[in-house]
Amino acid sequence: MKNLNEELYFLKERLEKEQAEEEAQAKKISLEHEKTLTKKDEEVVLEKREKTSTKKLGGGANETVFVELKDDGSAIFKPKAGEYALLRTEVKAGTYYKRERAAYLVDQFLGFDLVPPTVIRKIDGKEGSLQEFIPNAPVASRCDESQWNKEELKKLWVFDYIIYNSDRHGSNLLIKDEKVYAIDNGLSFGKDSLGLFGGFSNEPIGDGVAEKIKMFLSWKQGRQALRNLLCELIEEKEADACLHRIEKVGKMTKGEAVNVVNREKFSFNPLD
Amino acid sequence: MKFVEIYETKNNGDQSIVLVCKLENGVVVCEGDELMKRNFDAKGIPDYGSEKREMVFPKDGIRFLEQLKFHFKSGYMNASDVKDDKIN
Repeated sequence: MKNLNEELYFLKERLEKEQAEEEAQAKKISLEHEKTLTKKDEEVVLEKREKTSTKKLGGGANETVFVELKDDGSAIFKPKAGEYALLRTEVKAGTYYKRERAAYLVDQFLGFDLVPPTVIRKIDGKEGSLQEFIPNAPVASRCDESQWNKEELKKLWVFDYIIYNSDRHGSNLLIKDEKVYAIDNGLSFGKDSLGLFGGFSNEPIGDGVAEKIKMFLSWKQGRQALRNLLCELIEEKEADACLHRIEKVGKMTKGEAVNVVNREKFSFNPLD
Repeated sequence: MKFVEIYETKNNGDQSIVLVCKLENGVVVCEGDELMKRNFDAKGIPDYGSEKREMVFPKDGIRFLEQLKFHFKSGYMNASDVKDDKIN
């Protein structure tokens, strides 16, 4: 009888501990979700902070401008009016800047933390995207492959599939202290052929990425909020297709057989 | 001689040339960042004008040169139009 009582005592203690852990985790998730629904400080700075100078950058098919913000860093501005018309057949010029913001929002809701803060703002009378400039961050094609963090790149692969990015390559991602920054996301959410970076073959999606996808899919309010925000920036069918792709990734992360990162599995686009 | 300059944006917004790609005898010869040169030779860049987005390489000459400004356009790295001046 004594042994049984002891066992019950320890069982009760274990259950209470597990319940407390679950509650703490749920609270943490809830707080994370709440933060996502609130505009980040960096976005407010980009939207409101006075600009101190602008420098039109030379080269590139689209117009790009380096903008310095008073007491708070710098940013890359891409005006709608400077978008080159024939970059893709399925993504129309005049919409690239909104897609930059849409990519940032998807990144934030998923918690991937790949895209630098990006907002839409008017500068010198022109509307465009304004994205925080990451200093001292070379593009991947200027880094030795030993500096590449494979898990970060796999996360980027999943992200680019979700936003259906037709333009990821070694010069559209930055690497700084092993962290990856996804830049130049304006040619996303359409039907043009997918451009993915990195050669992964039958490799598991990282646990962290799978967990983030799972968390997002279980967050009903977040899904609806993201859809609403995306519909202000891209076509409704493009927003829905993006959400479908997140669901597809969610299904792919369940079970060993499909728990892989490869091109074949990352090709489904509801818009096709 | 036709050539393209590839610029990198520094922290203060100034741009510096990291690579110059010149058309010589029908092929492109690049001078500057060694890693980028190696990547061009090994992986190429997409031909954004082709339907199947084929890859083009320095050996493809003007076709490669013309695609650079569509490839480098992020603001961090930009490529110039094809220029046609004498360079040293």
